Amino acid sequence: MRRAWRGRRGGHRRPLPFRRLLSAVSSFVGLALLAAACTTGGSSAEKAIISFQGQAQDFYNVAVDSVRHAADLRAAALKHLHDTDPNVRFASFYALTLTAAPGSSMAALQTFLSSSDVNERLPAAGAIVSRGAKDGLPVLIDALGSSDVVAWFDPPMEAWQYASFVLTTFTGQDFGLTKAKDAAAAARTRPAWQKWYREHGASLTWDPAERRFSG
Amino acid sequence: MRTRWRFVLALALLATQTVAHAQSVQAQAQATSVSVKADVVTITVNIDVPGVSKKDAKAWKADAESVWKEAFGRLPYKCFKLQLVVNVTPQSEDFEARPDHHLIFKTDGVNGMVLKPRGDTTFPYENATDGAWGDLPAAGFAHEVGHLMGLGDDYTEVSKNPRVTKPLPGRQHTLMADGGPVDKALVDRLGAVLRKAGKLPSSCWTGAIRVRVVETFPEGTVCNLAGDGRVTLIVAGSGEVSGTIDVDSTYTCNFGFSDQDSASMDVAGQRTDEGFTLQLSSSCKCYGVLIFPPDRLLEVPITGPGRAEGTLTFRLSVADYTYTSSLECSACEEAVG
Repeated sequence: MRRAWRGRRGGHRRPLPFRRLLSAVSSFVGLALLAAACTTGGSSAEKAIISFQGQAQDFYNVAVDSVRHAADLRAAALKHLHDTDPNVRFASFYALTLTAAPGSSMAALQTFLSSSDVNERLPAAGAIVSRGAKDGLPVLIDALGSSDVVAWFDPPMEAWQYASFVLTTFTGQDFGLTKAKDAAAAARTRPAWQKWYREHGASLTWDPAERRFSG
Repeated sequence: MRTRWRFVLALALLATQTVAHAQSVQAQAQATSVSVKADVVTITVNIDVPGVSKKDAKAWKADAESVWKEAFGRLPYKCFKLQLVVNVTPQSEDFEARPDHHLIFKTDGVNGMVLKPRGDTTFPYENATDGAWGDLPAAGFAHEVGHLMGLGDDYTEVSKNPRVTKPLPGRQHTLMADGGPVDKALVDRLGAVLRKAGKLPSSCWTGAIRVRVVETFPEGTVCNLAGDGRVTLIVAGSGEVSGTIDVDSTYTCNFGFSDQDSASMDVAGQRTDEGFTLQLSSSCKCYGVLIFPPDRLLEVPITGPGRAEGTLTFRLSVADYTYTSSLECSACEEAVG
């Protein structure tokens, strides 16, 4: 069976972006730059972002570079976060959710906490909460009760499901949320979560070993 | 000189055979494999994960297995009991792919994806594939492992930028659509994938058996054993049959004795175009009566497509034995869409 995509098996690493790049770079200087791109992690990571078309292979390329070339991917993501191409912009945002670290990348993600797009607001909140920044928690608590779909996850999750997973995983609190079967049931736990955050939000500290807030 | 050439030739032959053997072993190794023992079908998913901690590897395994175990416990596929084993092996971040393991990168953040052909596919049973998983709820890991068992997504993208998806018709709140529970349709699709991949026995027959044993003793005592049982027979491609007969029975005698018992017996035999020829490899000796004498064969003739029925009677010592069997094929020659 022919594979329509390639992972880290076989000789070719990323055939489609490679062809795209090759068609754009026809001069000797371009080929030299391409050769350099293939041999340095930074350019490779940037290529994963600028060639992003929203296919599974594109998600995979970014995800793998988030493991193998995290710093390069983070830098490329910051560079292209406001690109005019929506695919590149999204790839940059996605890369930041996988690689954000204290500093400019976390600050960049925090700007998405007030986005009107649930596909930006919630993943940004989840990414920064999972890295120990508590200012994403109110965004997630607000989303309890929302059945808007965060569409780019596999499988897609309703906002309350995503918020429920992140909140219970990284705070160790529950307030009946894990038993909620739908947005309405999740919404009923929201007052308890809001009360908890009001009372404990200021004193919460992050345990990096346990990847959990306490306090 | 001649001896030296013979030595070189022998060495070359040995090397060729060694390479051929290695290739054959490699070809047999599968990242997702299936073993069948009687009616229990065990799917094993082997995953290498660069960058995952032992703790997370254990959690991934537990999460994925628990979701599918709960589902397989309430939803058999035809007469097959499905089981899932997920082996998650932590590897270093620069680890290279192995042909008998899927390669899943551990990412930070909420993330889950597997590279695969669209739709239900036998691909994972023939090839190792790649993916990237991060923090996921248990249903998320189960969803990704679903892909590694050959199940496709049950949602579709209805627009890009911003991306909007929706479950396929009738698939809302199910595992491969939105992380909901596993339903019967998913288990049936998984069974169909296994069958298409050639991983299931040729067929599976289930049905009922009624046992009557009447013992008439010379002094006038008469005892009756009446049993009703459930038969499960798994037929291999060669026609070899294995299975079980579970019988609940009562035993009454004309002097006022009465008792109840139940027994599970193994059965083996052959299936031909004419029917089944079965022998019980173990037989309940309930109340001192053998429910089925081990030296006798139970024959159940085929009476129509996917149907076998028959009555067997014989006398042994003081006992008259009667067996009435009715079997139907519950997993015969299904096509996979």
